[in-house]
Amino acid sequence: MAVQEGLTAPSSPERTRLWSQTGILVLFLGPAAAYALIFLILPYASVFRFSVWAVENYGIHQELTAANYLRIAENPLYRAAIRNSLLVAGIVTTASVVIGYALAVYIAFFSGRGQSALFFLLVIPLWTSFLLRAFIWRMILGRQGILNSALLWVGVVDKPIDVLLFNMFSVCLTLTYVFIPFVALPVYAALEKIPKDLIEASMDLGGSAWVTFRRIIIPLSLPGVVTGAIFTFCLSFGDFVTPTLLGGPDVLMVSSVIINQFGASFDWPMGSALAVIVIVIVATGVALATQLERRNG
Amino acid sequence: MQRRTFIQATATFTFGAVAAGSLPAFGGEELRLLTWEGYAENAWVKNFEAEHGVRLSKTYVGSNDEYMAKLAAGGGDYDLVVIVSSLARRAIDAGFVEPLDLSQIPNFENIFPRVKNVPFIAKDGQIYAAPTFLFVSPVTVNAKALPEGNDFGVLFDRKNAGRIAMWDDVSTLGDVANWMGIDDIWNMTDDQLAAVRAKLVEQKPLVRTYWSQQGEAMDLFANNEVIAANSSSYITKILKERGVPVREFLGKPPLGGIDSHFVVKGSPNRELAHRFINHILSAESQGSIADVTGYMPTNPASKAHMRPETWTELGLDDISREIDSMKFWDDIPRRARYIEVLNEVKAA
Repeated sequence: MAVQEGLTAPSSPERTRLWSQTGILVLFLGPAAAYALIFLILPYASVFRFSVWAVENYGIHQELTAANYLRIAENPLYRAAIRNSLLVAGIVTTASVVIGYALAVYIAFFSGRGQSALFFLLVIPLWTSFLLRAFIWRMILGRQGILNSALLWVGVVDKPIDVLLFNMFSVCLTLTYVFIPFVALPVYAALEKIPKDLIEASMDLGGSAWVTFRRIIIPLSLPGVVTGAIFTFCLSFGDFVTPTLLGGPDVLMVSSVIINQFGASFDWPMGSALAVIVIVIVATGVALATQLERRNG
Repeated sequence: MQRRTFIQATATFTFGAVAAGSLPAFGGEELRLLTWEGYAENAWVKNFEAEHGVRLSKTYVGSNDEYMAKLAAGGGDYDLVVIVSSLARRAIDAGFVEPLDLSQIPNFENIFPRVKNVPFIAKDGQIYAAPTFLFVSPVTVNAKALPEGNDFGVLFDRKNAGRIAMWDDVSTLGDVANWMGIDDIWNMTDDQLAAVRAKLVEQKPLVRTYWSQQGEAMDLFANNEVIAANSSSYITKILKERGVPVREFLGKPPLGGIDSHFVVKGSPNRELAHRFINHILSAESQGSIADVTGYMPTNPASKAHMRPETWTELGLDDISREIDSMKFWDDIPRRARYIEVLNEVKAA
């Protein structure tokens, strides 16, 4: 009897333990799960649901249709916008990784006593609004901007040059400026964690500075690079402030098209379909980067 | 529109009135307005509130699209809404608004005849809206760089290469089509749209940038980035006040728009809403609004109730003369396609 009882239901102290374990799990993971559900899973599901509906006269028809996706596939406009976004994100990520990495290496290994001051200077721009930082570049690159004034004053040019602003160059330059800290900070954090004796051991065993950098420092800082690169890629791919303010007539990015759909066109389904495509592209990029990190990290 | 960025001019005024504790606690009804900042300022609303023993609650909106989004989300929170002429037909067809009882709005008769007879406020023989304000879409140019010429073609002149800005808005397609001599600019055929698109693509090498916010357009002129743009009267006005040498001219025929007051479908305060519309259409209110905000009245009798210089500054003599030939922002049946064309130009 006693044995059977024990099999069917846990004894009282055991039951309490199970309950308290469940309680702890709910307490600690519940909010996280609720957050994931409310702010991640449901919104994405909703975007996807909208993307297979249609709009007619300010009403959304909840009938299943692939029309939005077909429109995106048929009109080269959407491919061009996505291509532009990929191009900008690619250039910005590459430039930010190269410059951000060099900066992080400098701060971590070569800045000596100025290390904390430099780190502080790197973080300061993040306190300012993104919009403001983008707008300031308009003042720097404009016809009457700081750069043109300097060039005129030095005598390099005799009239202001137009090519600095309102094109792909100004968009990439501004975004790179904005995102360098996003790469430099995680890389710096990774570099800081590399044990000094590993570097010394490499040098002691006859490894040159280059070999040490390539075989020790780069692999160990790769997680930082991947983190920074993912941030930069995703955020620059989806940015619309910079192309709007500094893009000029040629730089149409997909986020601007999406905003058009939700605003002026009142075509939420079409906007959602474009958003789904963006999500797929960005998710693929992130997955590839994570794979790369796993293989080499 | 100039309403959008009107905040600064009236903020002080509104704040003053509120701070002085002049908002009486009405026991009576509440009239809920969805409107542009500046359309319902205390200067011309206080007396209405006092007279009818009601309180006005105002919700301001930042763009035309936002109005439609708010109404689409359920207009039950408002009694009255201001809608621009290009979206009026849509609001009526979507069932956001209900027909007016003109017998309750005697001032409707005083509106410019052309304006009160525009087709987009009527359906099935019923009038759905009272046109309350006018605006024009001019070309703004730097008066030093371009002292002469009043042709829209200035925006396509190679001499101005790199110094032109265009508005990133569907109305730009209408502006260009109007200049190209297309009649039905808001309902173009595929061929006409293709011709306008080709014209805009051809223009692209001359364009410095497309502007989307009015402040941005002002910044472009003030920093000498551009010398010509299709714009708004508000942009010209503010630039002049800042001492930037600009002038403006209208297309041929002139292009503009109308903002109208509508009663939201199912409003429990129908009668009061009608009285408010009648109040805002009165010559006194319209004159006062023009003086304070620089908005163009639809009731020409307001001339007697505004400063003479306001009438002149707003170019209301020209408007009165040309109003019959004016083209107004109208419903764009293929709005999504128009926006797509605009994006195609940028992607070309």
